[in-house]
Amino acid sequence: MEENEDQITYLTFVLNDELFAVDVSYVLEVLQNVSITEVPKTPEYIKGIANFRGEIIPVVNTFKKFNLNENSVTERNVIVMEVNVNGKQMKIGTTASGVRDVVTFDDKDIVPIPEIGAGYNIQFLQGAVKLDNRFVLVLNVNEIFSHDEIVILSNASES
Amino acid sequence: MEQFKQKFIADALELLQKLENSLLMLEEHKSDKSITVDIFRTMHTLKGTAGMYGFDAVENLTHHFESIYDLIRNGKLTINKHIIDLSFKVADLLKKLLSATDESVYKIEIAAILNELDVGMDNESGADEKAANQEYKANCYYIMLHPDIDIYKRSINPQSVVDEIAALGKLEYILHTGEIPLVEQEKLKENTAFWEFFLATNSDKSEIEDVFIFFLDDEFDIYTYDKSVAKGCKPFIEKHLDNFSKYSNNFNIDAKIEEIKATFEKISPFIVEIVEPEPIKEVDIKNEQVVFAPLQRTSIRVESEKLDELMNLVSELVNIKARISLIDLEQNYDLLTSAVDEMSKLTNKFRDNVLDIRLIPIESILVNLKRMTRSLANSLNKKIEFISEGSDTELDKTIIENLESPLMHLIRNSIDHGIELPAERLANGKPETGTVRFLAFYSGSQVFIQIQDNGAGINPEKIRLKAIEKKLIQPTDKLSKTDLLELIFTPGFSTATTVTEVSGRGVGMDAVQRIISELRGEIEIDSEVGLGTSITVKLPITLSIIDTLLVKTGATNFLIPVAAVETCEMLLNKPLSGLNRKQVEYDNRLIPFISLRDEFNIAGENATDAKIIVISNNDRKIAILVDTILGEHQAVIKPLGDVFKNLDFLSGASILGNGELALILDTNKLIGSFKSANNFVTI
Repeated sequence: MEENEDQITYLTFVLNDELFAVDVSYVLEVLQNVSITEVPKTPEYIKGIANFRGEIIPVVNTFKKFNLNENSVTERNVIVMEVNVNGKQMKIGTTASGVRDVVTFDDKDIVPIPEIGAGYNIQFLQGAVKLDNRFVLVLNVNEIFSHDEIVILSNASES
Repeated sequence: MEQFKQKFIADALELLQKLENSLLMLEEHKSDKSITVDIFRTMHTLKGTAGMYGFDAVENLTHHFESIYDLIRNGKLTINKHIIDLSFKVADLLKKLLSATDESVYKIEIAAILNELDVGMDNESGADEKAANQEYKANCYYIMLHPDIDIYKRSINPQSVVDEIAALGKLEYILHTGEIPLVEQEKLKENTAFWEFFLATNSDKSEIEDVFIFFLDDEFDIYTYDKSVAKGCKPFIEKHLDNFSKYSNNFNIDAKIEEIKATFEKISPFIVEIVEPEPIKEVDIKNEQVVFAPLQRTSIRVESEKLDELMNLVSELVNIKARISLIDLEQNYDLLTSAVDEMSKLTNKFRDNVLDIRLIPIESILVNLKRMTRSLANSLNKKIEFISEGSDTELDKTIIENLESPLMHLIRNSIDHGIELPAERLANGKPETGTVRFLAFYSGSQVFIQIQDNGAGINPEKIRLKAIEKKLIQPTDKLSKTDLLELIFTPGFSTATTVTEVSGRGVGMDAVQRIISELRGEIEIDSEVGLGTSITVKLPITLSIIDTLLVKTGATNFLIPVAAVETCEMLLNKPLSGLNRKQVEYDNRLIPFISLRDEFNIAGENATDAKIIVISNNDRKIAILVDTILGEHQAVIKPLGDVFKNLDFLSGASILGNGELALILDTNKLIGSFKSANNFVTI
């Protein structure tokens, strides 16, 4: 494909067998074999905390977000992203089964996903892209860690 | 140039704080001359340096201000409330001028204050006719000035120095220009000119020193000359022997002594008596007055960023030390072990040192608290005395900075709602003047700050009614007095029937509690109707590194601050299941019990050799059940982040030597969660 300004670079990763893509501009690092410490009294979609360059970051259980059960724990990867939540820059880790290639494609290549039968909140996704005959689900980073959820997290001490 | 200017502004603001402290003291001890002299000196210093950095308005204002205090210290003007009020106004304006980018913005304010100052001087000053025949109740000084050869490179005009000294009193001087030809002088590469000054003056030694501010210490000497010690001229002549003999011909020591005596005779008619300088009075702490000895410590100012970086480096060092300790444990190599032990000791000392650097005495926020008390009492027409104890108690810099706002609010409350109007106090058999007492002291690993007043106290009944009205509690709820008092900390609660302009708006008691909480502290309140109220704030001394006990339950590591730990025991022969939040017997008492596994839903079973750790907070104790105790760990506290803000039972996390993370338990909160009787369920 020719390089043009509309092309955005994405990091692809897998949750079980499902392929996802996330805009690299949000990605700080991919941690491998990192130990995630569980934190009590937190909702299911928070896996725990991890040590990222000396800083404590929350790790979101991405599987839970998409209603998946983590298949195998052979490759334990955490993708560390920096996102803007409620006006503040936050570093957040997300779990993945493994990371794959870095690809580029256009905004216009992204097709919407039908709501029916999704089983999860499709707002988490911008849409889907066809790459090499496979469908890749494109993450909507800002929605995944939306303001509401972080607030719920903050109030979830009783759960 | 800009950085020097910034440094000057920082120095100047510090001087102004010193000034404010002096003014507060002066108000209590109006006849204490030494304070007036202090103020004069402070203003004099400020005036000089302000001019250098182009702060003309500051220089001008300070000059006028200094004149007033000059009159006061010479007995021409007496201190009164009006002058002190004016002085505070001047201090405030000076602060504004120093921070302003454009001085001219304050032209009108300056003119107004100058006007008041002049008026003040006219009204109060007595007859000035004696000026011409000024008698000096004076000191005599002998000053030797021998500047280095680069004096002109330093843009110092010796003549102006002479003029300045002359302005201090009555001066006679001898200038030795030496009889060494210029050629020789150049070869010597020394300045061969020197002065002998004979001065009779009212000023004290430090003012004379100020004249020589731009000279190096070894270029001048100032001696107090006492008539009765005239024979003792020898010591200082001998000290400067090489000056005299090198640079003047025919030097004869006895002749010199005569010359000195004779010159002093010349100025002695102006000396009425020689007075010993008054020692600075220390106020007696036994009478619970404000403890205020001007602390003479040598110190340097360090930028916070540098300190923060130092702290970070120390934290990393502590972490790496932990890693090395771990490796040593595994390898068990003798030589390594002893080296690691030494390194541990050193790192500990280093850590303690750096933490200590960040500690500053709480006194630094007292000035503002006192000033607020003063002005608030004035505007409310209440008579209030502010007493402080333990102002030298030290806290981490960050904690102190964040404390000021909540403490101001608490004191505002005491003054506004607590202390009654003088008439009411008298009617109740209380002294007219109310007292607000500020205490700071250490207790265990915490700092306690108490604010007490002998005012009206808080009525628990009023709180109950208000809380019912605001639907915070049910009419049938049984709450103890302490529980009721603590309702004050609920957001939106305010018992004042009118929101006064001063308190009760925005910064509520709930905000105070939140800030204290964020500093990992606690706040407690006690009150008796008619007697007064006491609020206690408890804070950790430092924020960053604490000694902890590392324990494990399931796969999760927990850290318990050693300061809170009382004992560790094995739990034997007691049923373990279903015990969470129940009670166990300890030390002939029943204390509440938490099993971390059950409390936090951790997988697995409680083993029969599980350990119990008894933690305490003052008198209150609870027992914690864990799987294993792994040892001690110096925890560098890392915040968990906003996401976990509401998990108040954790005060953060720490990175262990093996890279794993451990959760730090907030023992006070855990113990606190048992406070209400409702949480006790006996087996």
